[in-house]
Amino acid sequence: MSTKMREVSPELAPMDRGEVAEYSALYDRPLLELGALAAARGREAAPGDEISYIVDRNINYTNVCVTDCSFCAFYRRPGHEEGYVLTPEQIGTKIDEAKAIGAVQILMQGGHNPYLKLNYYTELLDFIKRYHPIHVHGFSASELDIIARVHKMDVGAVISELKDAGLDSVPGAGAEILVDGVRDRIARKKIDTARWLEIHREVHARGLLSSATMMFGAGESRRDRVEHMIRVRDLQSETGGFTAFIPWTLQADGTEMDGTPEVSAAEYLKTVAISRIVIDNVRNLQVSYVTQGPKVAQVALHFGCNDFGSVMMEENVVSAAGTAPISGLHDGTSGSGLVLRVPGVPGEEGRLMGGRVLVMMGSESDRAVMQKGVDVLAEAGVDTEVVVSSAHRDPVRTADIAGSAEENGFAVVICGAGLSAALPGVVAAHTQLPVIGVPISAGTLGGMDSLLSIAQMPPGVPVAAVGIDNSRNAAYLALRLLRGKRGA
Amino acid sequence: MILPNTEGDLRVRPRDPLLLPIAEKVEAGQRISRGDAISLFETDDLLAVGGMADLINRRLNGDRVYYVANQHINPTNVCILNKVCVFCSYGVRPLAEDAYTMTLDEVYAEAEAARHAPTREFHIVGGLHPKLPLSYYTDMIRGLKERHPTVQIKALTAVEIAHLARIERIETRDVLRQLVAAGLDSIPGGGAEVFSPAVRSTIADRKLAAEEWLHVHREAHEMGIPTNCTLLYGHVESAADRIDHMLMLRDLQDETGGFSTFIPLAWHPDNTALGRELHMEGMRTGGVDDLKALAVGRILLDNIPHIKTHWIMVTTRVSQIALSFGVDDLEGTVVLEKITHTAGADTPIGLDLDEIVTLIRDAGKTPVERDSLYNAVGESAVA
Repeated sequence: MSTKMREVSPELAPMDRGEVAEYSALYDRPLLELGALAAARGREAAPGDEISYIVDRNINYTNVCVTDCSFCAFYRRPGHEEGYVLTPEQIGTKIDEAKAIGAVQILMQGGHNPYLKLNYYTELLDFIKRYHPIHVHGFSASELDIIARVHKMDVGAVISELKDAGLDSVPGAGAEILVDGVRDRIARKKIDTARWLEIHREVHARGLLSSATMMFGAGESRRDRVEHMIRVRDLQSETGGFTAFIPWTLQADGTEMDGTPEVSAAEYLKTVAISRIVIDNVRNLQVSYVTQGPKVAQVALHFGCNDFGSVMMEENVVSAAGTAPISGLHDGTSGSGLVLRVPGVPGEEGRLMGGRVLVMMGSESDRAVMQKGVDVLAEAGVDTEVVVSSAHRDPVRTADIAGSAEENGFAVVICGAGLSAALPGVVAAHTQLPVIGVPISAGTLGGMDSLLSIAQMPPGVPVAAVGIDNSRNAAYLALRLLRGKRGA
Repeated sequence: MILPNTEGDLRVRPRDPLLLPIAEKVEAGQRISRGDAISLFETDDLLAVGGMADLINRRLNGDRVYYVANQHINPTNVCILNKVCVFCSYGVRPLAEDAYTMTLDEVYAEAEAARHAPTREFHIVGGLHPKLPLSYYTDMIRGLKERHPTVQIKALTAVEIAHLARIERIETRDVLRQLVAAGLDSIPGGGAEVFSPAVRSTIADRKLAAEEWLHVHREAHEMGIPTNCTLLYGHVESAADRIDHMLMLRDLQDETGGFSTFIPLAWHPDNTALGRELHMEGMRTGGVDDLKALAVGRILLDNIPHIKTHWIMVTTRVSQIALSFGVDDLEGTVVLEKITHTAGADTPIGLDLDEIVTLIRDAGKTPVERDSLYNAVGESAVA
């Protein structure tokens, strides 16, 4: 199939060898010198000291893939027991969770799954826009390619249909290294260089913006990287449709390429700096804190990068290859104004989800209802502790737990209770933390008794009441309260 | 595109105009002032600060980056300051569940790792144990020297030395004398933390005061014992606190010339009382701050020959970048790091020599294997 596809790829423009050699020679310059040159170029491309970032969620709608890339630990072949395809409803739930903590975009990408037809994508986009509206940054060039091939359609027509269904912009993934010799080795079945460029040209022509990535450290030469940068720069001169260039390094653990030496931090910084110098016509250059760690990512802001990328809630693909989650940084007294303007990452990430949530219930029988809220908190990455303690049968213990909740690091308490539902009120009487009550439908009155009981608190001892059995809403409210602590 | 040839010159011209006069001083080989140092911490022109540090370092050390095959040994975590030093997660009370004190045989058993490794140095530090006498340490040093005569011993911080003097009711000078007689080669730089009395009373109240710490090092220098010095940064201290600390080190160095290396240490808050109180558990110093602490150290401490990056605390990735920011020492193999790892470090507990050499080469520098005293050893000595 790939041979046939390559026949229809347009010819690549010839490379100016002199230019490639000149830029490749930059790698021999001292790191600081390159950094200063790149930072100057960065200030021209994106004036001002602002560093941008986005709160979004990475949703991988399927992990089924037929492309067998040797650097990927995420995919499963069709028929594999761990293969999955998410339904629009599952994706809608993930979007709501993301929006609850302030996400303004979803990055939706998946495997190259030939069992999914165009209507899966259009119906999904339509469902999202109708019921869970958010900016959809989705479907990279190689996914668009497989949809076109499955339907024997022109890729431009596929892009138009997706755009009409609600697609907002296209991610730059799948570029890897835009040199066919390298692609043949690491991603033999993926679209070739010309096709990747052609698809982005079509995306731009149909009025959508996209980004461009580069995955390096897969055994390519420095010249290959420079060729990649020149290809991106040249398409940008033609269309102006790229918003950002995103160079990141191969994470080989758990992939066929396990054992490939890791790109050193010095090589990473040189490569981002040279990207900034070569690609002078794309406004934004993004750091990769997922692969580089937050410390090096912060330093990269002085090497021409001006975008911190996504403060991701969920990242399946790279973390499947063994990278650590983000940890917070604090800036000490370095006086780097740069990073202090990046809320969400250094300094504040630790506080973004700074408190733990205590979930209490009066009886073991409440657990099934409360578990739904616990799942929401768990998915959002919030540290949650669940305790069963009755206000009537165990009043002293309940008071102790509530009284020590704050010093135990909890920021919010959610209490589920049925019938007389005294638990939320008793807890609120023993702590200054915000308390959310979940009325539970038990007994002959179906939870109305609990709802009224929870809502009727004297002044100064407030309990926020959510709907009957709606522990999920209690969890979303807790997430909002935690988010309010950000920057506190 | 034509780039200037900047070998032997500043590789980065300051963008921040406040740095221009400082850069001129650095180029002329002049000493910078306290106010200059404050500007270096306050500017956001990180690369210019790095460039100045890099120039001074190239003048002193060329492209050489030193590393040592060493092994850390921590004989006890029992520490009478366990409640006092709120920044520390390592020291515990004598009867704590996780308290340990190694017998000399256990120390020798752990040191056997050096038998089949190219180890040149044992780095031995631990808690202030209320009962362990000076003889425990002198016997240990003698025992290690007998078993590993080619391995140098860098042992006991000024704080431990002062503690031994107190429990033995002798002068610190006499403790040093006995340690040297047992075979001690040099003294590590730990326990300095931040000299500012205000900061010290916040993070390590009643720990050996600045004057006493400096006194022990002065005595060591007078006896010809080389020592290191440190700064613990990234907690409650201000830029001025850091600079005043470094200036006290610079003054002593002017007097004695006995410091080999300055090592800024990035504080790790996990599992510490201070970390809990400041709500900083899980947080790390920023990469920019790590580089600045090193680079400003290189610029300000113009009389100390070496600046070391502690990869255990700042990650090997930042340490590699630091080699372009004035740093000429990449610490060592370490073998089994315990102290920072109890405070949440997620770096490796040790590195292979090959990994260190690769890190240095990838940064465009020349690796030089050294001993405790910065003599080139191994293949580096032949070359």
